[in-house]
Amino acid sequence: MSNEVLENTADESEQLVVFELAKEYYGVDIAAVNTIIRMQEVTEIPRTPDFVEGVINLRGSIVPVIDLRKRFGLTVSEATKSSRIVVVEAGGQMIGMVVDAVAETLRLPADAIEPPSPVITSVDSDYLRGVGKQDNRLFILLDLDKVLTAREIESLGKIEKRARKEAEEPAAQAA
Amino acid sequence: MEMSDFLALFLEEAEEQLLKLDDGFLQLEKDPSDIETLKEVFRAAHTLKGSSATMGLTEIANLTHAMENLLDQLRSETLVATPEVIDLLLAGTDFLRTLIGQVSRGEAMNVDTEELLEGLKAVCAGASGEQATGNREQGTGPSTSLRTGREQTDGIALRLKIADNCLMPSVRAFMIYNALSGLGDIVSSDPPEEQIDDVQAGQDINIVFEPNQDSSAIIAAMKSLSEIELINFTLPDSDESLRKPQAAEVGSTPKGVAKKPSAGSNTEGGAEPAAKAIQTVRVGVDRLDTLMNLVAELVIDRTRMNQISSDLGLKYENEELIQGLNETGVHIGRVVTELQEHIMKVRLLPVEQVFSRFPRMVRDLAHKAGKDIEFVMEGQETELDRSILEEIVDPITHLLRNAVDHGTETPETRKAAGKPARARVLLAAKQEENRIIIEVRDEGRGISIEKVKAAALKQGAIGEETLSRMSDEEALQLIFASGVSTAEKVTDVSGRGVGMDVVRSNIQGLSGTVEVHSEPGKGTTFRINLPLTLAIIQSLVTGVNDMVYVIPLSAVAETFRCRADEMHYIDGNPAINFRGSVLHLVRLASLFGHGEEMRSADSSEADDWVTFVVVRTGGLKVGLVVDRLIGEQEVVIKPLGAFFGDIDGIAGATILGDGRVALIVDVGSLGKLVNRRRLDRVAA
Repeated sequence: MSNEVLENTADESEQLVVFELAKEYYGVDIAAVNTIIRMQEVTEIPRTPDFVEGVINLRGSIVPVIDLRKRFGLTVSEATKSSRIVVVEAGGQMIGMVVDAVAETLRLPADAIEPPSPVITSVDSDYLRGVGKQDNRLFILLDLDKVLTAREIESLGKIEKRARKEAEEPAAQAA
Repeated sequence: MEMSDFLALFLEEAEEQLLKLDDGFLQLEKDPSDIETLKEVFRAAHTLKGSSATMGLTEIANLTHAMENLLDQLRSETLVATPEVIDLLLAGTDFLRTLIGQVSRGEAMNVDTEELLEGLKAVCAGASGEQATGNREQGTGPSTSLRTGREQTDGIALRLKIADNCLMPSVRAFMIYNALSGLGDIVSSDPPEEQIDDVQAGQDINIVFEPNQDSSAIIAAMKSLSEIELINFTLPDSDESLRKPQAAEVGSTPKGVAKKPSAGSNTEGGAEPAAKAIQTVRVGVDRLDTLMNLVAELVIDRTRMNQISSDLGLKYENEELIQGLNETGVHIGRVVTELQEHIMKVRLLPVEQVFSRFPRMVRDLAHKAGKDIEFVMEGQETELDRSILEEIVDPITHLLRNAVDHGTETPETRKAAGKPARARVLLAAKQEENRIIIEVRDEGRGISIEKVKAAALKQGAIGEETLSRMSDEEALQLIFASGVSTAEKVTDVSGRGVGMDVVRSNIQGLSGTVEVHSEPGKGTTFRINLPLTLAIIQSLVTGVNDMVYVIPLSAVAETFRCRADEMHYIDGNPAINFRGSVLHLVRLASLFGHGEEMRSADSSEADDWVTFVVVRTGGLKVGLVVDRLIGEQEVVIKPLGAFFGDIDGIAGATILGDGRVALIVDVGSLGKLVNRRRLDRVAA
């Protein structure tokens, strides 16, 4: 029933970083996670979409940060003590995602992962890779490439086009 | 070394040699008797022939060989460098460039060189024939005596050894034969030339050689070959320049051997190439970039350390350790600054590297357009960061093309206007403090300011009212406005290619500026102003609300304060009377979409002071209103990355001493943003 997902994932199990967002559990592949840091001051970037929080200084690198609640159209809440920035690598770039809390790391057997279903999650299933089940808990597995790029192409429009141009001619991009 | 490494090395060298050839041929066209240049191009052709043959690139080797033959005749004065000969040689470099391009792209070499080779051979043959039928007695120069000298020699006996650990002995052997073939004739060799494929590492090679060069050149050539040892070098009795050392053990007394002949009359560079090879190292650009990034990290940490150290000083006033920390901090600071300077210098290259291609281009353009142009370059030794260097080729090419095609008149028109038929086009580079200025100047008809104005209005690049308030100097800068075809606005000549807006955006992408000055009938000057490097800039740090914005100091004209009630509104835009002229003010906060709306903010601070930074963008000045000035600081530019792409008005980000990220204002694209907002407002 979940053949496609099964083929894409490892034969045995998957290791995930699990975080909380609006009282639901989400999982991302541990290999994609660069680091997890506490909330810190984010520098706003003018004229960027609402869900883009800005940029932070991560050990000397400038890393963009997005608010996952805003990204998924969930109710927006203030950052709390448990809020974290999960820095992931997607599409060759580091991007930070603001989440409510980081819960644990988890090893999920492949047969515990099912394809995404719009019925059980509040997030657009386009962003999802699947849904994992363990001990009566649901873990929504994010497709990072889509969360961080695909939809953006529509909403950022022009910006994306330029980004693509930049990727094609990196030499032309000065500073 | 892998074969691909050899290829990369070959391509790099080939590019250098090609530039030398182009340069040299043009110089010879001007002065056919310039023997030094002739030697230079001969060497370049010879090097290229040798290396291409080593790489097995027969087409390239054959062509360079034919060119070399022709050059040899020029050198021996049996042929004169007429424009036709130069054209033939230049065509040769064009073909070579195409061939080498194909090699670099991994394509098969596919150029029909037959006709060109025939042409080269025909010229050579013609010259020798002429020489044979007569005129011989006229050639009483040193070359003739050298030839006579050669006829008497019995040849040099060379004994060479291929290194024991040599990986590609046959290639090395091939290089020996190749190197020698350009320096004279190989009389005999053991093993014979046909059997070099079977040469083994550690094997000796004996060659009897009849040179047409000084012994020093031959020794130098042999010594410059790697993995090859020159064991024995026996001179012929009749060689006057080097009689004493009958058999010189080159390895033990290299200086003695190399120096003596160079004191003589005709040296071919002596042992110089070999010495140079030891003093320089080729380093990949990516390595330099990595070093630069690391230094940039250090600069950030240094700033951060100073901050911590002064914070600690405030917290624990009498702590001796802090004194020690401060001293260490200062020292590290000094070292980092020095390190940064040195690495920056390593990345600097003389502009000659890109300028060298222009004489040829201008010559061809001028020929095609029927213009009589004297192309002058100045300041080729000026150094610039290599990343910038690569990016300025297109803008300069464009400006030069304009200067030749459209700026300069035809000789007839010039004569009719009472000017000399020959027009100068100048390309000059110079350093002014931390900036590099590149100028492209022509002595042509100049740009008609009225036509520029008319074209700009027609294209909607500017409103009539705004235009009427502009000075001529300001209005002239409109030729850089986008959407306006240069052809229409300047000369009515069509086919001007890419617009000047591309030139400007290219330069602005490098944190540079470009301005134009023009005098009708006298000429036009484009002045490009570039930073020495892109990675680290001097900047003015400003505060807007709780944000920090960094403005590159290169764009800052001055900072100023005025009372809020001194502000006027023109078309609803704030401006002040600044030193007698209108200065438009732009509030950074509203431009970047945070903070109150401009109008309400203005009214609330009616009797407050307004601080603004006067910036130059193009030829225009704009006042950027900020809340406070924080200070001057050296900052490291970090790109925002592909996630954001280009954001108008933002050039990148930097990390401040306290670890916070500040955005760097892109003054160039700010102008665009301001205009758009103004247009929006008018539309609304």
